[in-house]
Formats: sequence, structure tokens, C-alpha cells
Amino acid sequence: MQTNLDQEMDKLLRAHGAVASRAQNEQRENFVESSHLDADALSAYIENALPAATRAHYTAHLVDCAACRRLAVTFASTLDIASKEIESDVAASEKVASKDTAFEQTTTAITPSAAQSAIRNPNSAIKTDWRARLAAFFAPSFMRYAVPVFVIGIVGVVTYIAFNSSQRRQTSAPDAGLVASRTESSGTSSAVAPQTASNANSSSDAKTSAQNPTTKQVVTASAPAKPEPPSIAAKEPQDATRKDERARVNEKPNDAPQTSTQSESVSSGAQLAQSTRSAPPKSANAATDELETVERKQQNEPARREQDAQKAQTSNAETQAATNDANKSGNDLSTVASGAAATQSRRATSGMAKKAESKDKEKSDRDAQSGAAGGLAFGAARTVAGHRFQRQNSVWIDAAYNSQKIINVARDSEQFRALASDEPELRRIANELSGTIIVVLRGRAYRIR
Amino acid sequence: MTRQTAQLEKLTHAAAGRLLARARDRRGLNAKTIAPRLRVTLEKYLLRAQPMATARAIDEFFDKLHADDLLCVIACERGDEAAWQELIKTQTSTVLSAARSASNGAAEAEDLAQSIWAELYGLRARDDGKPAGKLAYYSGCGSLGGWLRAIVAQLAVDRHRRTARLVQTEDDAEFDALAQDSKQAESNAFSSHASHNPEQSLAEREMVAVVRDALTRAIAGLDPEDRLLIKLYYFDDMRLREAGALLGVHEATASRRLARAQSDIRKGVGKILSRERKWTTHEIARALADSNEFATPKDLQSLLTQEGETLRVLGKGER
Repeated sequence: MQTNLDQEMDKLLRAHGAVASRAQNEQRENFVESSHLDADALSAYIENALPAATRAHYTAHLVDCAACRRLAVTFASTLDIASKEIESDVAASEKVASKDTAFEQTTTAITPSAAQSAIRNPNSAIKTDWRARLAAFFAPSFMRYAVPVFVIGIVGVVTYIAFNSSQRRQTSAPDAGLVASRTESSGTSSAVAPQTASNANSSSDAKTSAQNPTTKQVVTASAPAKPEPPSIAAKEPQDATRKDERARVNEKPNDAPQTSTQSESVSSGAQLAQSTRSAPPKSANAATDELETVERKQQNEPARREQDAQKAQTSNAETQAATNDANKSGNDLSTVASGAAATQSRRATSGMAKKAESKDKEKSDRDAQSGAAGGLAFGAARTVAGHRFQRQNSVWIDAAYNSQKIINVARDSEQFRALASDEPELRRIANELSGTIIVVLRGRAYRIR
Repeated sequence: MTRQTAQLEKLTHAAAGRLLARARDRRGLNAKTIAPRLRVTLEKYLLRAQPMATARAIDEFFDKLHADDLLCVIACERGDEAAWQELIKTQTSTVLSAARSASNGAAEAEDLAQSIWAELYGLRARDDGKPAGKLAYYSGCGSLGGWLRAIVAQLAVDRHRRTARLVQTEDDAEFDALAQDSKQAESNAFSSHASHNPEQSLAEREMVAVVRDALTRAIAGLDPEDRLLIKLYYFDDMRLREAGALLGVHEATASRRLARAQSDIRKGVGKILSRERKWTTHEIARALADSNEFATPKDLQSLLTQEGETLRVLGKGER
């Protein structure tokens, strides 16, 4: 192997070597025998088993002593380990010996053993070399780079898994919330009507509706006139009372056909009103105080009102497509209230409507409870036309959406009408859900605005 | 000195204990038995080059010795038959392999191998306990197999010299003949090149001499291992693979080192010629090219090649 050798210098050196050899041979007789390398020194030299100073001394001797070199040549010819010998590790170990003791120990441990095994049994040289390389792989000089890379890789994988799982948790949070709320309520029958967040009534109306269960339209105190922060002190007893109320409401059968538009609020206002009738007699002031506390709490949650309005819209759209305009104004509380009242009688005669109604009630109940638990910015879910939507930051997102390319479609546009003609469910979804909707139809994602 | 000697004895004794602990089979030896051998090894391989070696360096030196091999050899010296059997069993293949590499035929290799065992076996420890024979020279620094190969090589070289004296094929004689021929050829070459211009031939001869001197000094300025590599490859005509094995590096590493050494020599020659002769870069390059041509004319090279081939066939060369 003569790679990249200077040809001109090669020739010059060969000629020079021939001349120098002749000169050395003439002086051979003057060599001192004792200074020559014996077999033990030569084998130790070749195996790199000598201390550095001694090796340098022997190297200098070999440079000047042709006889010892000749012996070394003969000895080297008996070795068949050149192809299995360690490559530049020996030179590298000599160079970094002063810097890294561990590396030096590793490599110096490799060299004699590899040479020894190769000399004893050439077939074992391969195994020794394999072990030596494995040992060199775990040498500190190599591990100090490999360990940080490994740690970074592990951190990256863990971060990726955590990110994915958090995203999944976000998409399934409403379900979890609903499941949690189910465990709280004793029954999931149609006992609880969906909230109508819109009915802006005063506390007096709440009392009135409490007396008439079918027209309970109050409850969610939407009066913005009393924007007081919820009282923490009032909350605790309120929670306990609320549970009782729910239990009682669930037990009590509904007289009239209950629709999703029934404006009986899940909020504790109406339930509280009910409980005031059946509960042990309380002082009027205490009941009023509790009611006001509940109203205050509801008043301070605008998101909850919006959710109630949207649920009212959902119940309307499922039965009548003709009420689209009214349902679109889901944020208008009065409109929802009138719409709810209008459709109430219609649904009373529809068997299908009853089933949808019961489903919606359950879902609304869940949504209301989850909404009551923690706001509407995230977690509200609705099912429309077989599509399950989850509300995220005022956008209804189809559960089937998986980061596909989105096609923007405006309501009342030609494109929307064309799509709706092909996909009737699209119109229904647009009617029942307000705001921006991301829906997946036939594998394509559409953003309805 | 007495204090230093006492300290050395203490360190040697402790090292003997550690060595026995490391060994797979202590073979009935104790620290007192092996301490003298360790002391000799220490003197030979460490204290001669580093008289003021520290205790740590001494301990590290001792801890690198091949414990099993050394105890086996010492046990063989003391007449331990079990140790002898183990030595023969484990090293027969090594000795035979080395003998084949150093010989020209199977019969000669077998004979050489038998000679080795005879020398080792027949020269065990004498009754007075003093070491005798080649076993006493094994220090444990290198492996036992390597030492045995070196013994085989030494014996082979000695045999070759004894038999080669009868025929003028010894290396020395070969070089002597070549030297005479080359001198004659050189003078012929120079005369043939400048047969009609004595001044030019004188100038050319002087230039060659200057370049050669610069070459010698540039080589002398290299690292010892690089110098050794140059000598092994160019002076001893060793192959790169063998030269690398001698230096303990792979053939590829030896090739890279050689290329680097050539580059360093070229730079060294350039520096010397520019500093002392005030030659320009162009003149130096021309001088090297011309020296190459004049130093190894085609007729001289072919002459050397022919003579070398003849002598090698007669001398059953080592390579």
C-alpha cells in the first residue's frame, strides 16, 4: 500500500538508502554486542509493551543498527497479525496518553493483549480485536460524546410522546368531563333539560319558573347588571345543595314532553327553586340568599350563557330546518327563548324528536355540568348529524379532523349551497352550530364561516 | 543509594505479591522466588532509561507484566513438569508457525522448531539454582508467544549466517558486490552523461553530493520512529506491512507516516539548500530532479536489479 507517496522523493530515498546501507555494512564489525536488542527486548518492543523512554531508546538504536533491524525484519516476517493489528489506535494512544489516562489504559491494555493473542493463536486475534473494539467503544473518551447524544435523544422521544398524549387528552377532555359528570348525577334519563343560557330573567322570574316546571326558562341569570364575583363562602354549601337538587330533579318525572328547547336550566337556580318546595322549610332569607348566590355565579360566566344558547339552537335544528334563521342568532338570548318556545310545541308531537330530545338533554346536561365545572373555552362537545364536534376557542371542530387541508367555505355562498346540496348534513350542521365550524365530509375538511 | 535500593526491594516485593495474586495459577511460587527476576527486569527496561523513576511508574511497569506467562516460565526453569507440559501444549503451534515463516521448507521448519525446544528444554535450571538457558531471559514484558517467535527468528538468522558464509550470498557480501558495481556504474553513468563536458559532469556530481548531504541531514532531523520507518523501508527494503508490524501500527498507518516523512524530508532538504546554498525554490526542485536522474540512472538501476536477483536466488533470501 503506497498511497500518495512522493515519487521523486521515493526514488531519491531509495538511492540514498542503497548508498547508506553499504556504508553501514562496512561498519558492522564495530558493533557492541551487549547494546543490541535480544529476543525479549525485540518482542516487547514490537508489542509496544515497553515504557516510553525505553522504547525511544530502542528506536534510536534500531535506526543506527542494521543488524538489529535485520533481526527485527526476520521477526516481523513471522508475524501474521498485520491485517488484524490495531491501526492508528496505538499512535493515537501514545499521543493522548498524557491527556486521558483512562483512554490510555484502555488502549494500552488492548495493544499487548491483541498482539499477544494474535501471536499465540492467529484465529483468536479476531475475537480479541472484537473485544478490544467493544472495550474501546465504551471508553470514556467515546462515551463522553455518546452519553449526551443518548440523553438528548431520550428527552426528545419523551417530549414527543408527552406532546402527543397531551393533544389526545385535549381532544378527549370533554368526554372525560362528561364521564365525570355522569358519575355525579344519579340518573341520566331525560330528567334534566338542557340549559338555555339565554333567558335573561331576574331572580323574580327564577322564582316564578320554579313554580311552573314546564316553563322554566329562567335560571341562568344572564342579567349583566349584577356582575359580582362568585362568593367562595357561598359556594361550598351551594355545592352540597346542588347535588341534592340534582338528585331530586332526576327522580322527579317530567310532566310535559321535554324537549331540548325546554328552557329549564340545569343550573341550580331552577333546581334550587324546586328544592325549596320539597326541601325542609328554610327561612325565606336563606333561600333567597342562596338563589342570589347562584345567580351571581351564573351571571359571571358569559361563556356558559353562550353554550346554553347554542344548545338551544341545536335542539331546534334537529327538528326543523325551517328555523335556520332563528337558530343562527344563537347569541341572542331572546331569540333563542322564543325559538325554544316555538319549537316546543312542535316537538311534542314528534316521536323522533323525543329521542333526539332525550339525547340532547343528556348531552346538554353533560355539557352544562362540564361547563359549570370550568368554562366553555375548551371542552364543550356537541353531536350533530352524526358528527361529534368539540368547541375549542370558539371554533367547533369535528372529531374526525386530523390536520387535513382545510377548505374555507362561507355561509350563504354559492360554494356552500353547492356543498349542502350534495351533503345535506352540512346544512344541518351549519344551522345548529354557530360561529366557525370545521367539519370533515368524505375525508375533506371544510371550515364553515 | 542503599536507601534507594531498599525502597526498590520493597516495591519489587510488593509487586511480586500482586503479580502472584493476578496469576491464574501460582504454581507453588512465592514472592521471594520471583522477586529477583522482577528486579532484573526493572533494571533492564525501566531504570536504565529512567534512573529516577517514581514509585508509581515502577508499580505501573510491574502491573503490566504478563503474570501467567512469567510464572509458567519460572516454574519451567525450576523443573515443574506440569508447567512444561502446559508450555509445550500451548506454544507448539506458535513455534511451528514462526519456524515455517523463517524457513524455506517444511523439513527445515520442523528442524528449527525442534531446535528451539531442545534449547529450552535442555537448559533448565542447574542444580545450584542459577538460571541457565534462554528461559532465564524472558522478562514477562512481552508475551510468551512473541518471545518464542523472536527466539525462532534469532535462531533462523544465526543459522542462515552460518550456512550463507559458504556461499557469497550473505547480505553483507551482497551489498559489497552491489557497492562495487554501483560505484563503477555511477562513474560510468556520469561519464556517459557528460562525456564531452568535464565541467558539467563535475558540477553535476557536486550537485548530487550536496543533495545527498541535505537528504542525510533532513532524515536525521526526523522523529526517531519516522527515521526508523525510512530506514526499514528504503534501507532494509522491508515491506510497509512488515515495517508497520515492527512499529506496532497498521500498514495503512505506516503508509501515511511514510508519506508524511517524505514530505518532511522534502521540506528539510529545501530549507537546508535555501539557507546554506541560497538556492531558489526553482533551483531546488531542479536539483532534486536532476539528482534523481543522475543518482539512479536507468542503466545503474537495471544493473542493480539484475545483480540483486542473481544473489537472491543463490542466497535463499529472507524475504
